Amino acid sequence: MNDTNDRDGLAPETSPEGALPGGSEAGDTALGGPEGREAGGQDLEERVIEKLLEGDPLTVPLGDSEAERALTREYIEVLGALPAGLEPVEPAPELKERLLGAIRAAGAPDGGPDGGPGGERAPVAAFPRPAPAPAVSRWPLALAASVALLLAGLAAYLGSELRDARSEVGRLAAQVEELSTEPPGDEATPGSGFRPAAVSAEEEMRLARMLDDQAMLCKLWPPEDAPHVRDVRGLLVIDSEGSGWAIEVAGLKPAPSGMAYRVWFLTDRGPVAAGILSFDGARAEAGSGRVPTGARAVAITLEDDMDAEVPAGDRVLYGEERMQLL
Amino acid sequence: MTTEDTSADDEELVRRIAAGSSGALSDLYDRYASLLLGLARRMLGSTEDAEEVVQEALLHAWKIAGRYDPARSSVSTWLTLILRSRAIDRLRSERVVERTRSTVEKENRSPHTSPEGVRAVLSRERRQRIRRELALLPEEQEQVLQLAFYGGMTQREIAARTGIPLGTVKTRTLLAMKKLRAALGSEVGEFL
Repeated sequence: MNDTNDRDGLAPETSPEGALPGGSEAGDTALGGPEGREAGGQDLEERVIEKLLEGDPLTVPLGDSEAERALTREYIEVLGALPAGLEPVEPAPELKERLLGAIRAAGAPDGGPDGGPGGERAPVAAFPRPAPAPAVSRWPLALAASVALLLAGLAAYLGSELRDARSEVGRLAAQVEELSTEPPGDEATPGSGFRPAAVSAEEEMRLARMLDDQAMLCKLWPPEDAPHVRDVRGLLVIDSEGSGWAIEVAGLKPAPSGMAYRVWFLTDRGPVAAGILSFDGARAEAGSGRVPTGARAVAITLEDDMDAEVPAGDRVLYGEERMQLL
Repeated sequence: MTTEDTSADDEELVRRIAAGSSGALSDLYDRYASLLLGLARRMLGSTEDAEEVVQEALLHAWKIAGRYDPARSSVSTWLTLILRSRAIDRLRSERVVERTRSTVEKENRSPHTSPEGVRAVLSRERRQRIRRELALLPEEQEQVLQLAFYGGMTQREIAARTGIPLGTVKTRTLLAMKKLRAALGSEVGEFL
């Protein structure tokens, strides 16, 4: 293929590193033109492409404005179309059998009807589909998970090793497993006094996954050069599928007015904003969504800009070590 | 059958999967397994790894079908990106990274054995069109796009690997994406 740099108005081969985002490179000007350029020097289209290529197109936010959402959707489809240009490869017949065997072992889809896959279940009216309550309630697991998280967070706060927490979690899990074998009717009995009303079926499932033997823990520690947060500790729990996570922090004072503690997953592709810590009394917590692909560490920083795409404030906690929960 | 028909059919299959229908997953597999396997082979360079990742991706799709959002992407794109995400995870593992990077820049010339029929014809036409548009890209733009999409590399990694300045990598990637959007706009627009 021909080199068409001149035609495209490209930057010279020796252009400086980091020309985008920032708009300082000569060729960059040719990309967006002044019309589409935003105040930050990077036009919307460039920003959309950048976020899709540097993040996971499956999970990146579509954007704040309708224009950005539409453009992001369009570029997601452009990326999705690329493999259609490849030669398809006919799978071995046993692959389908293995897959169907795997879904039989996996059971019903998340939020789907209980009882595992098989024939057609029930019609689904529209997306997004609300998660029906499982026929056999998993609230005891959810309750145990909450307690376990609290215990684990407390253990981190006290600076003790996670062996204690794992031992306690294991003991609770065994107790809860006994409870969960009780007839479903007992659990559904009004006034039984056990079911926490605030825990949704979806939340139950999410928390239950955090108790299985593939869940991971990561302790969060303050930087050595930050004496004002030296007693702060945190704990990240990632569920077995990487599809859910939760952070608990102890010993942290609420953020000053106009600021907030933001959570970041540090990936091979750069930091990915993951939420804001919410405070509930002495504890702080955050967690939702899938752990980004390539996440290697987690950090919490004190920020005054809630829309910034990279951390700029003081780091409060950091962790990168993962351990088996049970 | 049009692309819109296909898209609507796909969404119905995902709805049924979310309702627990393994038959619907089987149908979705029949439609997309060869595409996904082609992508996985291209990314991983090994049929064994590729089949494992296809299974992982479709199993994951089974689990999260209820969370599929048609306003965000078409089903084919959703599946493609699930698989890509899984394949990137695997690419980054020590086991396959070296083998993969030696093959990622080469076209995977595996035989086309997908079943005939209307869908196969549409797939072939689409494949030819996308290849045509990719072939129109300057080679250096195609290279960075392939390394980013199929190699799962960040732009910084591409710069380090190729020795091209990061700013140039970014510029080439942006130009490639913009050209593809312009070229494939009508096609992807049918999904939006």
